[in-house]
Order: sequence, then C-alpha cells, then structure tokens
Amino acid sequence: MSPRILVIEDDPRVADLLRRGLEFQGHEVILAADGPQGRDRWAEGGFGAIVLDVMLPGINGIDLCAERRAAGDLTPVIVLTARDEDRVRERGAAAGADAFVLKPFKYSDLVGIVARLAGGTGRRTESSG
Amino acid sequence: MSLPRSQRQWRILVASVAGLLGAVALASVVSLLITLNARSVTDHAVRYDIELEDRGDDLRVAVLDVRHYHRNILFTGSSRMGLADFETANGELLAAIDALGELGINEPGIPSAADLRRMAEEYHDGFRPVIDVYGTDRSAFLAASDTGIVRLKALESLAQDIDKLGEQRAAAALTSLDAATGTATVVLVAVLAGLGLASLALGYAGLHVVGELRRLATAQEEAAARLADALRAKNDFIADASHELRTPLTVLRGNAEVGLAMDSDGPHAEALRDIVSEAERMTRLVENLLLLARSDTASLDLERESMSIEPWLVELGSRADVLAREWGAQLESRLTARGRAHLDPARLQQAVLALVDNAAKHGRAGCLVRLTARTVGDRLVIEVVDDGPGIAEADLPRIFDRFYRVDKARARARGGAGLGLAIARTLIEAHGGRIDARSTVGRGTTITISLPLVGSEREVALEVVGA
Repeated sequence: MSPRILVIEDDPRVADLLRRGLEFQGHEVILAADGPQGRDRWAEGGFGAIVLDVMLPGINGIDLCAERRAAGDLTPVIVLTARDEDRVRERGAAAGADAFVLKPFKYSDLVGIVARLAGGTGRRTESSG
Repeated sequence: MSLPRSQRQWRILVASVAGLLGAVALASVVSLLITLNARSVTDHAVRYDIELEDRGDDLRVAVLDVRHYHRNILFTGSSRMGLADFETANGELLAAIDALGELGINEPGIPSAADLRRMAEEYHDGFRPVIDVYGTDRSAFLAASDTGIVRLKALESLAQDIDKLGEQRAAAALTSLDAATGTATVVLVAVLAGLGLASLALGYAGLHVVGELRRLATAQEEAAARLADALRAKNDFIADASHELRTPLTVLRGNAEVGLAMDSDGPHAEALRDIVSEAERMTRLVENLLLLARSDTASLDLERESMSIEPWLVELGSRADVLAREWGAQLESRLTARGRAHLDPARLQQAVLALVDNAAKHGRAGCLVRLTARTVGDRLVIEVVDDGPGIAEADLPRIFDRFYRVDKARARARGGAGLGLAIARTLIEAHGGRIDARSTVGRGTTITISLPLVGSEREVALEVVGA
C-alpha cells in the first residue's frame, strides 16, 4: 500500500488533478480546501507526504508548514509554487519545506517527487525530466 | 485669427521685444537730433546773432565817442590832446567796423562793412583837414563840421539798426531754441510713452507665455503619466492574464498526462500526447509573456547567486544538446570559460537555450549549431553560431524585438512565437550583459552574449586572449 497523501489546495480543478494523478499511483489522497481545514487534517497525522499550495484561504501554506514543523511534525512537505511568487523558495526552505514544484508542473515531475519523499510502491514513477 | 493661442502669444512677445528695441533706438535718435539741433541753434545765436548785437553796440559807442571828440574840437578848438583823442576814437571806429566785417554781416537794409568803412573814411577825410583851419577859416570849418555831424548821425543810426537787428535775431534764435526743445520734448515724451506701452505689452505677453509654457509642461506631464499608467495597466493585464492561465494549463496538461499514464498505448494516446505538447508550448509562451511584462515594469525578479561557471556550463551543454536534437540539429560545444559570476543560473540558462532553440529551429535538418563559452578579460562570452540561412541586414536590428519573425510563415509552422530572442535579450540585459548578432545571408548567424565575471577567479591565461 502506498502512503496516504494530504493535498492542501483551494483550487478544486488542481485538487482534482492531484487526487486523480496520485490515486493512479496508488496513493490514498485526502483533500483539504483551505488553510484551517488543512491544518486540522495535517494534525491528525498518518501521511506519507503533504502537497501544499502557498496561496490558501485562512492561512498561508508557508506559515502552516512552519507551524507544523514547530509542533515537531516531520512529514515531508512538497510546496506548489509559481516561480515569480515572492521568495517562496527561501521562505519555504526556512519554514522546513522539503521540495518545491513549479506551477504549471509536469505530472511526472510531481509524482516522482512524491514517490521519492513519501516512499511507497507507486505503480509508475517516471523520472522527472 | 486661427493661430493657436500659444503661437499668438509668442508673436505678441516677439513683436513686443522688437517694438521695445525699435522704440529705444528711435528715442536715442530723437534725443541725439534734439541735442544737435539745440546746439546748432545755440551756436548760431551765440556766434552771429548775439555777436551782431554786441558789435552793433560797440559800433554805436565808437560813433558816439568820435562825436564826443568832434564836439570837443567844435566848442574848444583844436588842441594837440584833443586831436590825439579824436584820432584814437576814429581808429576805434574803424576797428569796430572791421569787427563787424569779420562777423561777415550780410543783412537786408544794412550796409556792408566796406560801405560803413567808406562812410567813416568820408567823415574823417571831410572833417580832419578843416580842424587845421579852425582858427583861420571859421566858416569852412563850421560847414565841414556840420556835414561831419550829419555823417556821424547816419553812422550812429546804422549802428543802432545793427544793434536792434542783433537783438531781434538773438531773441528769435532763443524762441526757435525754445520751440525746438518743446517739439523735441513732445517727441521724446511720445517715444517714452510708446516705450512704456511696449514694455507693458511685453510684460503681458511674457506673463501669458510663461503661463502657457507652464500649462504645456503640466499637460505633457499629465500625458506622460497617462502613458505610464496605460503601459503599467497593459503590463499588469499581461502579467495577470499569464498568471491566471497557469492553473488551467496545469490542469489541462496534468490531466492529459494522467490520461497518458493510465493508457499510454491506447487509442487516445496520440491525441493526449498532442494535448501535452501543445499545453507545454502554451506554457512556455505564457511564461515568456509574463517574463517580458515583468521586465517592463522592472519587477523581473532575478534569483542571483554567486556561482562557479564550470558546472553551470556542463548542465547548459547537455540541455542544449537535447534541445538541438529535438529539432534534428547537431550541437558542437566548446565550453572553456572558467571563473565565478553573480547570476541567476536558471534565467541565464533559459536565455542561452532560447538562442540554441532559435538556431536549431531555423537551420535545415541536420544543421550544425556551435555553442562556445570562453573567458575574455573579465567577461564571460557565450556564442551561438549556426550555418543556417542567415538574416538580411535590414532584419538584423529587429530580431531582438518581440514577436519579430524574419520568415513568418516558416516560423509559425515551426511553432515560433517570435519571443525567444526578445526573452534572451531581456534576461541578458537584466544581468548587466550585452547581446549582439552578426549574420551573413546564406552563411549563418552568430549571436554573442557578454556577461561580467566576478574578477578574482578568472583564468590568467585567458586574460591574454581578451587583452
């Protein structure tokens, strides 16, 4: 069984894509549509990795990550970001994020990184280009 | 008048300045003429009219003197002293006549100096001889004396006329001086009034022109601000639109990729692959538009780091190789540059790859693209050389413009939006570098990038090359 993945993403179209793609890799995917909901799910634990958007209603993804790290949570975090979002990499790295995926991302890149960080037996983990 | 307001006011200003200068010149000339006229009138009055009066007076006094000594002789008889006085007085009379002669009198009703002299001589010549017969021929003496007195009277009357004429002439000269000065004053006052009016007009026009200039400047500032606003709005729109397109593109491509992953050999695979490649192309276009829009508003965010060039070149070479091969071209690289630079590695790689992409895309199948990187002095020089069709001289200056395509139909067929070189230039210039193109039609094109290195670690041997 592949690890459970928590996807915290407010845009339902992207969330659906991530769920579909990751489920195809054999992961169980839990969706959270805003910051506070994501925080609650994350705190429940039991995830192999968190896929985290930055611009979220309620609480910013970077702040949420920092908050969980401060609480001692070491679940791998993959931050979804656009290149020109202000210093997301720096701030994300400081907040304890493990990887960054640029939007618009390649499906194969994303599942590759999830597989690398979360482990598990993904059906097909194409290497990223 | 149909002239625009500002032009009309300029004309008023110019006309006022010209009028003012003209008035000043006129006033000067008038003052000069007044001075000259006054002086000539005064000179004339002093030199002739007043002299005439004076010398007429002198003549009269001389005549009266002669008469005085004449009467002395008449009443007391001839004495040596009386005779000497009489002769002296006669000499003075002749001198006074000469003085009038020197003045050059030539007046109607007044005899000339020569006539006066003749009269004086007639008097003297008629009276002087009979003085000697005073005691001996009393009747001849008295007859000559009477004639002499009559002659003296005539002379005195003439002297009085000259004196009076001089007086009249001097008075007339002074009156004419007065008149001349009066006229001159009127003219001067008129000119000064004109000057004052011209100054007022000048001041008025000047104020209006300054006001107009200020209005123009304000209008220009407003226009510039509006233009800047419009440009910002345009760039904001492009940035926002590009940003907003990312999500649907992610969803589009991601879903097609998921579909392909689920069924990579199925009947839909080819369609899905096309969707993926088109979505990728559109993603690149959107990213490029976003980059250019941001570079216009100076918010292009370079993530510079101090880096060693060598590993960066290795990665660049392998990426360029893959890219060239995608277009069926062959890449030959010679990457010998060394040193450190303060650059955004990803953006710089993007710039060079845009050049390689462009070269490979426009060459014939199997064409050769050469990528070289060397250190020249304290600069990193990267060249992308192709043996493609080349670029005509007329097109060369414009190839770095956005959406500029030398061969539009061909470029479109090969999927070029005409942004690659514009992106390259934007990125290179944002790094403080230079980009130039040289080309020969039929022989190929060389695009050269030059970027500053961090001085200390460049290879000493290569400095010689740049020197």
